[in-house]
Amino acid sequence: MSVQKQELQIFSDHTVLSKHLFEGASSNLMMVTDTAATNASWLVNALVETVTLGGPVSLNGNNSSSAEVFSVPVKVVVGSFLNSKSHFTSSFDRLKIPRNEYSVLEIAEDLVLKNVGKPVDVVIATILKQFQTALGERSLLVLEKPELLMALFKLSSDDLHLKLINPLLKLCSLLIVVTSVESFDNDFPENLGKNTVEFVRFTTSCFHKSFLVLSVRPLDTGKAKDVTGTLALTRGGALLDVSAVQPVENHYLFHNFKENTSLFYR
Amino acid sequence: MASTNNNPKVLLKRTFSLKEQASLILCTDTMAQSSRHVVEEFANNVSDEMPIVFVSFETPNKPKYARQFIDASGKTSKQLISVLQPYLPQPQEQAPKMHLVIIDTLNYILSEDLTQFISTIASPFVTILATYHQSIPTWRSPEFENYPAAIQLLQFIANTVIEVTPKTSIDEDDLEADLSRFVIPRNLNSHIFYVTLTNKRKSGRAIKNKFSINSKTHEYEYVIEKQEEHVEESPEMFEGLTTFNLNTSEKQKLAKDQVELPYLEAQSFNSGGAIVYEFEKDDDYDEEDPYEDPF
Amino acid sequence: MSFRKRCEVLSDGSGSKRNAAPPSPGGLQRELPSRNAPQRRLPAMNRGQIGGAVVGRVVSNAGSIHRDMNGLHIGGISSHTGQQIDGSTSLNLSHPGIRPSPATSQQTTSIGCADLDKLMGHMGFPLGCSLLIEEESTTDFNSVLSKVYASQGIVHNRVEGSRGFKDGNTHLIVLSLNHHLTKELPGVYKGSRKDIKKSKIAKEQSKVTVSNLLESQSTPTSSGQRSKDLKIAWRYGINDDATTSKSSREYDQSETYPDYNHQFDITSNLIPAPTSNEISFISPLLSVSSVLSQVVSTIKRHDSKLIRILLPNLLHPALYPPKMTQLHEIIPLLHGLRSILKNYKERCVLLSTISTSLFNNQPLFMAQIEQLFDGVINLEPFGQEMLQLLEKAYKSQPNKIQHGLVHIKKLPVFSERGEMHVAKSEWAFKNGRKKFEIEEWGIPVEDDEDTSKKDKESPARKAQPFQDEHQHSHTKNLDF
Repeated sequence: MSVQKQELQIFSDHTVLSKHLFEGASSNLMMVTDTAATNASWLVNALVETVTLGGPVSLNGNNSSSAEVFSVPVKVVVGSFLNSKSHFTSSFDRLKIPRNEYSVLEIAEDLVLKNVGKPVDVVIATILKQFQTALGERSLLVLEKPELLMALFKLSSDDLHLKLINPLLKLCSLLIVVTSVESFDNDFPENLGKNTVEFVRFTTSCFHKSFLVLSVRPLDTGKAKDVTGTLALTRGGALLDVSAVQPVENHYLFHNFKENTSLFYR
Repeated sequence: MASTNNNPKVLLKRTFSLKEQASLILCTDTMAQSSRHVVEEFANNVSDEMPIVFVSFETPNKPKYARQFIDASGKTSKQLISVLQPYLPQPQEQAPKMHLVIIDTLNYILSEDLTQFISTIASPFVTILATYHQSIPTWRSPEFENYPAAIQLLQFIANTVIEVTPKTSIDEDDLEADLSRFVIPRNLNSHIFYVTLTNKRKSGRAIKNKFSINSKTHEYEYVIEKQEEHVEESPEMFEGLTTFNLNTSEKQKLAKDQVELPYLEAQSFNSGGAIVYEFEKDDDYDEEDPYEDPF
Repeated sequence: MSFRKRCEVLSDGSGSKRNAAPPSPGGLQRELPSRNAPQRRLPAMNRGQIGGAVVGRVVSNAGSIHRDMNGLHIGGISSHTGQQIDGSTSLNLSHPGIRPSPATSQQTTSIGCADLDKLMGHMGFPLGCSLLIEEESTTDFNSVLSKVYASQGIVHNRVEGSRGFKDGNTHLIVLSLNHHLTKELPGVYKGSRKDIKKSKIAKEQSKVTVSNLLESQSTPTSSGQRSKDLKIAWRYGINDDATTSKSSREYDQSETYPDYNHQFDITSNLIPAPTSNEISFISPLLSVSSVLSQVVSTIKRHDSKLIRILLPNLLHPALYPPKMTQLHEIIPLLHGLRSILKNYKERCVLLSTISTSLFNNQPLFMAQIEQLFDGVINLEPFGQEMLQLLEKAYKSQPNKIQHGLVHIKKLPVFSERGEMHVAKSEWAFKNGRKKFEIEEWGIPVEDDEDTSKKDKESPARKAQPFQDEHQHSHTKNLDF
């Protein structure tokens, strides 16, 4: 059975990341949600590839058909609170993204050892500074698992948003927040614990700020032989502040096998 | 004024163009349908003369219609007020202009500080248009457990409440269940949606109307909530469904109505809760067989 | 056989045995000298090599052990020192407990449970990765796994003989207050009691001594007898080193990586108990910064060794104060450990266990903890009723009764790439004296008459690949 593979399309101009996003002065936020079972790393890779190599080369076992240089030079910065720099560089190396095309910040490295006992504001200021030096005009920032900061430093969701996410958003053209929605469930007991509330609050607040949500999750039916999960592109609570393009809602099935990801229409 | 009662659409228009006196217009939205489009409608309808101050917790982008843009991130509500104050009509001013203050979300302000915050900004010449995202949960400290939640407070003090809901075919409960798992169905947050406008009159009455809004064409449609009527079974209903005859004739209906249902006997309480069982002539009850227990 | 005799058998036998065991031609370099050893002519002993070495070490008679160790290590040092020098900062790739993952060719080490190694999809556990074993209900199967994990590290360290006590190749860091753990570590399984006895006799008889030779010449039947015994000896050997020989690939493994993993007998003790050079304890209750810096300094101190970190019974209410269950207490600890693990990813692994029944009502809390691990598996022991059902179903084969289900939540490396590896109720585990087994789960057929027959044909047969393969390899080998 051969199923037609599909190109990833996020914007109305048939692109994965439209150049229009980086042309104006506005800053927009896009959210990628994943679960413990389905890590969105392949999607992040594809997004980074789009900007650095000109297209999501690794998707669909592509023969780099659409690989032309991204029309606007965009700075790509990756910052993760979970994974170390080498984690990204080694996977970008495998995708043959030249190292000078992106920068990965060392944030997760010894995050605790370096910062334990310090006031939260100082910690955040240090992190912000790291980003400030790396980011520039027209940049794409991938921010992975910022919610970890809440658990690590007793930070509230609101503070995380107001003191870190907002300033970062201001610094770049497109901010992609990668966050986990594992264990988000309507089965929560009536009396929600504070931690739970804060995590749900963070993610929901993020939703209201994003113009698009890319949600990667397993099939509701569980494991399948030739389908790893679904990728759903749905509008978020905010409007894209770029008039030339609009985000497109799309649902895909994807199959991830031996570092290759293929997309199919749902 | 009374005429607006008769024409809800006019009332909505007057609300959007701020011709209805209100110091706080509250938009409540959820993940399913954001209030952004409603705010755009306001901006589209008010006169160009009106100064709009945009207080933002969520975006660093200044909307085109805003005269002033205030980035609220990293500010306490006191600091925010002091930044905001200069852009508001000053008390000593003679016949000041009407101002519109748009706050993109009130969720970041603690419910304890909320009324204070609103009342400091609000004045006869200021209309506050603020959104509250209902899907964002709040943890309530036990200290203030008796204090009303933010949404209750806001709905109480607002003159006008605009509840934004999606125009979708998905069942409300299913939608809620999906969203709480962060599964987002398609076609939400679209430019076509419903609003329920609650207008509190000076008389004390509150008028509630539902509209369908297309924010691209700026068309508003008054929606008359249809009562789900109980539909009587009619022979036409079964036509073309199957080849079976599903209809019941008058005679059959009568017979059906006369059937005495078994539990009716149990309800008479005459037998004191015992199980009603009567042997019939065909019953073959075997005392020895443990599985053949009629009870 | 007298006690004294056994001693002799061991002390003498070990030396000859080691020499008698050439690994496959592609074997490790340090084995080279032994290849030319004169005793090679005993083909049946081929694969008994580590078996012999290990047995010698862990036998309950402490006296013989030391002698045995001495006997063992001499060859080891001479052939190994050269390699040790050039790999002083990063891990020596000739470490006996390391092999490349067949799936990703990353270096992996054994958890100490062959079936769990297999479940990981890497035939082990990739270096630089962490595994969380969760256990539902109030049972304590996870402690078995954390103990074999610990023992495996110690055994790796001793593969090269008593050097392990001084230098060694592996160090275990236990983040626990329970120092008794050192005394609770299981020893290597030496086959069933019968097998042990037989093998020792066989060993003794196989020794080329004058009396033996005389004997074999004088009695015509004895040559047959001897080869038979050798077969037993061989069999004992396979029991020991090749507990993992299930598929042809693993069959290779036992040849190419003879000391990669071992089988442990949880009723026995690892003797001698680990020394401070082999194991360090760090209290997880200290402030996060001091726990982390102590871990780092221990890793630095044991330069060029494989570091196995064990964090058992995470948040166990008897060991951890309530305040540790606050997110901002436990997450920094785990995040910090993760950071260290990734900093030293060429030579570090981490295993942790947690009883999730205590945190069932906090799904997001558990999600936060799980997020910091590369692999997560969940043990769900059967309830009483299910066990009774299984007992009924496997009336004639009590050793087939599984004790619970194994759910996979995340697998190291694969899950990180985005592959979906959640497997609920696909695997079952059973814990025996000598082995923690994981096999495919199938609901047993209740008709006990048919069970044995059906087992052979039904897809559930796969569930017992070990036994089948085992028998298979036996017959095959007895031919030569």
